[in-house]
Amino acid sequence: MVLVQCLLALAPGDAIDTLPNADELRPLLEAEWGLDEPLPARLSRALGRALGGELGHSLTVRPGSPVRDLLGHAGGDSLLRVAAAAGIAVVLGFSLSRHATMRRGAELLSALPAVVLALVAVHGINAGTFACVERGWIARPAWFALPAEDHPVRMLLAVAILAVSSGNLAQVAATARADLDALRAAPFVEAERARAGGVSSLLARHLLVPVTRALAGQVAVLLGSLVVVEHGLGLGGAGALLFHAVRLRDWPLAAGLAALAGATVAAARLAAELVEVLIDPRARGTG
Amino acid sequence: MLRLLLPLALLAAPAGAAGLRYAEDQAPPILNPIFGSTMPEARANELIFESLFTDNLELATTPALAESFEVSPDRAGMTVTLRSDAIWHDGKPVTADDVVFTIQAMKDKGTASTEAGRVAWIAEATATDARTVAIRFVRPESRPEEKLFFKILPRHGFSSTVVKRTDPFKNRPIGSGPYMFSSFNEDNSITFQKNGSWRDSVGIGELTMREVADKNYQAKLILYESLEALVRVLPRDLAMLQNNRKVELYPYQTNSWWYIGFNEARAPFDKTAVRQGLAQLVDVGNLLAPVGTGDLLSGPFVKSSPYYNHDVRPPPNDARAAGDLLTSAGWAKNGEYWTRDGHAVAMTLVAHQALESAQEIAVNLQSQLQTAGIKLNVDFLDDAAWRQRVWRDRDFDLVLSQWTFDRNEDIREQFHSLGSRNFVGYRSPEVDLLLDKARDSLDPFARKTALRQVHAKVAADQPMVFLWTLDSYAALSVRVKNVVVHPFYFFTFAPQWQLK
Repeated sequence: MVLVQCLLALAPGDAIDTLPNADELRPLLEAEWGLDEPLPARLSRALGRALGGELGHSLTVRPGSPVRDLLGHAGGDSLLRVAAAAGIAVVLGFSLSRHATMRRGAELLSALPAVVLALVAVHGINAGTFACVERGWIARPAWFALPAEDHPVRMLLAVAILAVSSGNLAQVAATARADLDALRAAPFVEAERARAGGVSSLLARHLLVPVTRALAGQVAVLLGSLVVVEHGLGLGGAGALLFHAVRLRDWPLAAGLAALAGATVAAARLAAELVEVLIDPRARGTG
Repeated sequence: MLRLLLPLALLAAPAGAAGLRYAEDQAPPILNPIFGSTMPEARANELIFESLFTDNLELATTPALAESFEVSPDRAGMTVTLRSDAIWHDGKPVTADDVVFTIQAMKDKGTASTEAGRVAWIAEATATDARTVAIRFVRPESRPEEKLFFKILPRHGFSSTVVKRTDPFKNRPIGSGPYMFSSFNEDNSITFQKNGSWRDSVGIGELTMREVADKNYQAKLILYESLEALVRVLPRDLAMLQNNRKVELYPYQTNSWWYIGFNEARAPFDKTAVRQGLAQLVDVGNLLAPVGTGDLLSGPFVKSSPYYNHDVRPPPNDARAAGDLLTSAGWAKNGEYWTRDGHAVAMTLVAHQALESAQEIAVNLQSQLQTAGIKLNVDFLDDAAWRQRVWRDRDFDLVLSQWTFDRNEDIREQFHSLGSRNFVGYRSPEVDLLLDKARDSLDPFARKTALRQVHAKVAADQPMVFLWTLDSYAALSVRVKNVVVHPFYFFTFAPQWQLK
């Protein structure tokens, strides 16, 4: 939140500058919008208000709307997308980790940044579908053309791009491979194997730890890609809102979104640690 | 492959959308015409709201909310009688109080309306009865009805004449126009529903403004039949759309011209010889070629304007004459490069990042000036940075931009010494006097003469390189019939459009 505020303060212009008659409005709005205060004062006020659950009002993106309402509305959709993408990345990553060729393919695909993958996917799918429709091979699909139509396919594509792009999949696949190897070689697994016991359920239970750790690790990266993907695919959400908040220097909204992102990452990491403590006795310590 | 695609076909769309969808590259965050500033807002407001007067198909002034009007013999005031059948979207009648309220709200300093300039010529407005408004002017007016194109707001939608951008009205605007606001949607689109109670029939039931930030993608979407209308086709897309049987192109003339402005508040651009010399180094035709087609200009009006002075020619692209001018201003050619005070000349051009084709123009200009021996740096700015660097700090050497005008073509704010849009810092007592004369004159011929003189004087002083007015084309699906587009508001004649 502090970082976002500092970056916004460093960027040229402020929220009033995005309005057409900025010069006339400045005397009226500077104090009202808190832009007459130095950055530290503004930051401390924003942090104090945030601790009390008050996030202020949007200045320029949705003028006058409470930031809390905007976050509640957009945040839910975005968190769902991030959770689904993290889940897909983990399932795919663990599945691919066992096949060297497929893993290398995933690494190549995953090397593409979200913005590039989104552009290629949207234009490629549209051009291909248009060619098929024009030739009469298929009827016009309801989701065509991306991303103009409000259809679940658009959301699915966003989730798939989030899951695969910006190194997400490669990272999970590499981590999964190392974790699986380590788990197979763990003394308690070897001991169970020596007792001729079944190790599958043991492996599955202990695999939950790297899985949740990988999920938690993905969340921060996915939140970053979310800005590009939601804006590029015309999806309403926290990422698209952040794009507009930065563009229009809407600092209360940007601060609220940064706080939401921070809380999400912290919650994901806490959940991963809780799972580890519950499953792995070594992680509990002796107190 | 075909087998893979078949499941997708199961999600087939019904043939043809029920409404008309058009694209804007930026959706307006609010809908309140007294805070309107962008063309997407002007177009949306044209659907929802009405003004006292509007354009007819010949682009002549015709009453809209007004039924009749009478200007006093001394031309110091007028009375406007409203139509009896004008009603707001919530069913209440449009009254003289609404007109008075709108004028007062726009003039109220507490509102800080972006449109305040449109009512600055009005001294006072009073309602003499429910349907009659008496308007007193600041100074006599020759054709006041041509200035009554601002949108009228419902008084009952506000608590006082101090209107805020945050007033709830922004999210549920009430107008009296042919379309009613329906919803702001999650994907930033806006839906408008036909106003069934409007006095004339409205052909298309629903209009949707879609935000498509990537201008290059808008033409694709109309080809894919995901849009039915494109307000302005990028020149590079013209050929693609011209050859498509599902799309019809409609040419229209805008009051919009492009320029490269010099920052006269900063040396060396305060010297006329420098500005003239630099202007002669620019091959404007060559800059225009990759951007589209249009008319090259010599001054601050489009060629079809009555104020354009056809006796003034654009400066020639003449490197030798430019060299003489720059030398006379104290510059020296040192090998391949121009120097000033012993330093190689380098300058910075700024452009708004949303200005279409700005990149092509800037790169081309960079190459032209580099060839002539001048280094040009280019900065593309977003809204806030643009406002700060260009409008507030005047931190630029050259600025690439365009001005768009309504039918009044009022260039006073751009070229008067005290003009609020005169960020290039142009100062000319002679032009100030001529602009005052044009504003105050009741005789259309005298006004035309004064503005043509302004054209000549401004062209000679060269505060900017006047570039061109571009040929504009709208693209509409062939399913849309009876199409006439308005060159500025676009949707003025939309009620008569039909969707087959």
